[in-house]
Amino acid sequence: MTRLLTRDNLVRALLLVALGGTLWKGFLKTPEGATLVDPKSFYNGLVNDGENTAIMKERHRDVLEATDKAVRVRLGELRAGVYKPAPDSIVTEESLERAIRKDQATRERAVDDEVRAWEKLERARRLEAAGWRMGLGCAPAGEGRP
Amino acid sequence: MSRAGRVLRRGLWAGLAVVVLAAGTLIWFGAWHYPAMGLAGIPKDGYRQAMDIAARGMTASDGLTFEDWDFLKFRQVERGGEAYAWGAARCKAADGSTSFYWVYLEWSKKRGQWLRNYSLELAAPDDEIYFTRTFPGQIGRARLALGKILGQLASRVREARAFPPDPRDLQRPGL
Repeated sequence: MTRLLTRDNLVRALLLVALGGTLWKGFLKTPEGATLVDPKSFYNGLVNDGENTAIMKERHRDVLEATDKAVRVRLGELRAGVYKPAPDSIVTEESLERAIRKDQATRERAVDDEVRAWEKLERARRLEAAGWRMGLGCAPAGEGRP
Repeated sequence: MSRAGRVLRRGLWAGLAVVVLAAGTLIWFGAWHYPAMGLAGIPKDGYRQAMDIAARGMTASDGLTFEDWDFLKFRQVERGGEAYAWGAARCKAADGSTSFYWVYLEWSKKRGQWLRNYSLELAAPDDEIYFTRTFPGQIGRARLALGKILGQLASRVREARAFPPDPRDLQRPGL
């Protein structure tokens, strides 16, 4: 006689349930699952990420602009004799002029980064407004256009 | 076990304890105590007050006199609770030259208060921006970087030790 309800079978069943739960949780992490099952939370996360990135990129540009100003003011005061660096200092007229150019080179990239961050945020908002869901089949190329 | 071995083992344990304590103190100071100092109880939209307290304290400990904000920004997200405040403080050094100090605060959702974040004097004499590809060399770079880190730590410790019980007692503009 074979009994169906044994301790081993119970453990097997529980393991299967746990495996199913893990699969489901994993599915919810994919864009397909997240947009289908809980789109509100998916888009909250996407927009929140975009907002934080945009703020960060704006800050990175700001610190470079503030550095540019600090270097220029320092250069002006060095030329005017107000700022006197120590004799062995790495701050000289040449290094200050070079610092302005270096800062500008970094800033050009930072400005691009900021534009890209805003584009990313706008894309997230646009996708949400369009009610975009990632289908289970092959998604069409490009993004859902509102 | 021999006596010498026992003494050596105890010495090693004591050394380990000192290292762990030192690392713990450093982490407590840098990640918990210093960022929050004097900023508790200031609401999110009180960022200006928090920025003033932070800027006055950190510029004073570097021997700079805070004059005014060159600019100050507050940004927060619409979804979620993150908020940020940053700006450049215009200061006067002891020799009368102008210095700009970058101050950056983040709102901590966990602690419900403003916390100091990456802040430093801009274009300071040991700034990387003056480096070239070949000067200073690797050793010089390492020495300057180490000096900068330790100098900042010393400055933060000085600030914490001199921090008044009431932050309103910090230096005023024009002092």
